[in-house]
Amino acid sequence: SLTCKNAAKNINLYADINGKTMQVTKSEDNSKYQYQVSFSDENKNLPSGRYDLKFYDEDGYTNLRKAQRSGEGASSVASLFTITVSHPGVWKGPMVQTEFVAATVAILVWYLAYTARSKLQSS
Amino acid sequence: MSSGKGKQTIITKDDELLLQNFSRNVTFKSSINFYMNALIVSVTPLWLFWKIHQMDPLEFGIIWIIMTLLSTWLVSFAYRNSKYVLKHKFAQKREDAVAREVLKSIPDDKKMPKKEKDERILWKKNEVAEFESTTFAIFYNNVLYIFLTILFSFYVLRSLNPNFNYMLSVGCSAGLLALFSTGTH
Repeated sequence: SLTCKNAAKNINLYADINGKTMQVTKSEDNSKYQYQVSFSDENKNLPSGRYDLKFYDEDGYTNLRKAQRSGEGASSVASLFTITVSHPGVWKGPMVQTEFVAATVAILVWYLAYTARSKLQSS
Repeated sequence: MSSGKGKQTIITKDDELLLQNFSRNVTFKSSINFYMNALIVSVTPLWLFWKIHQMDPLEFGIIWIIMTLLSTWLVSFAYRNSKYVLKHKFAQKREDAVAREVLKSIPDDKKMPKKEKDERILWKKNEVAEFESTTFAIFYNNVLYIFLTILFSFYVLRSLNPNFNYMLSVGCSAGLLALFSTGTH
């Protein structure tokens, strides 16, 4: 949780996430999580890693939009605060298919049995 | 030895034992053993199709029962054939060890005629070969059945719907098992 030095409350916040800017929703009913923001994209566009979410107030957001329009980039505007989110990535399935493991074990055991039988029949 | 008197042929007890040793027929106990093992191995793929392929037991119960019975018969047929082929090999392999063990078990002070000793060795050799060939036949055919079922259901027939996948994979595995067992090598 965050508190402002000038005791400002109920301010509008804006977030810059992965180059996309969006307004942070405010919920007065939820006392624990008053401000909420979410982001989603295809898995290939969000690889595993740390994402810095920069938050701006009204003035900061205006300056950010000006900087983006003039092509200066978001780094030139100082954010109010930054939250780092660690995204562990998504599971893309097992490295080896389970049916392949089952088939490999089955063929190996059969080969051992076949070798034993051949040795027996040739003796 | 058997003697022929006109049209009658008398088979002595020795002949009977020799015929039994080299016969394809199995005893009732051995037959039950084969059918039970074949039933267990035939029921195994049902778990796969029930849990992985999500087949409903109530809907496909009849098909499952028919295919399980068919597979049980074919697998036990394979067991019988394999055991017959392997028994003689096991008997040859274990001959010396069995003879040594039987002769060691006879007390030195007991005078036994050679014929009786040979009979005991033959009986023991038959028993050992029977057990080993039965066990190995069951093991080998089970392993081959499981391998063929996995190969058919996971790879060859994977694009078919589960019902046909089950029928063909179990049917073909059991059928191939029976076919391979009829070979002499």
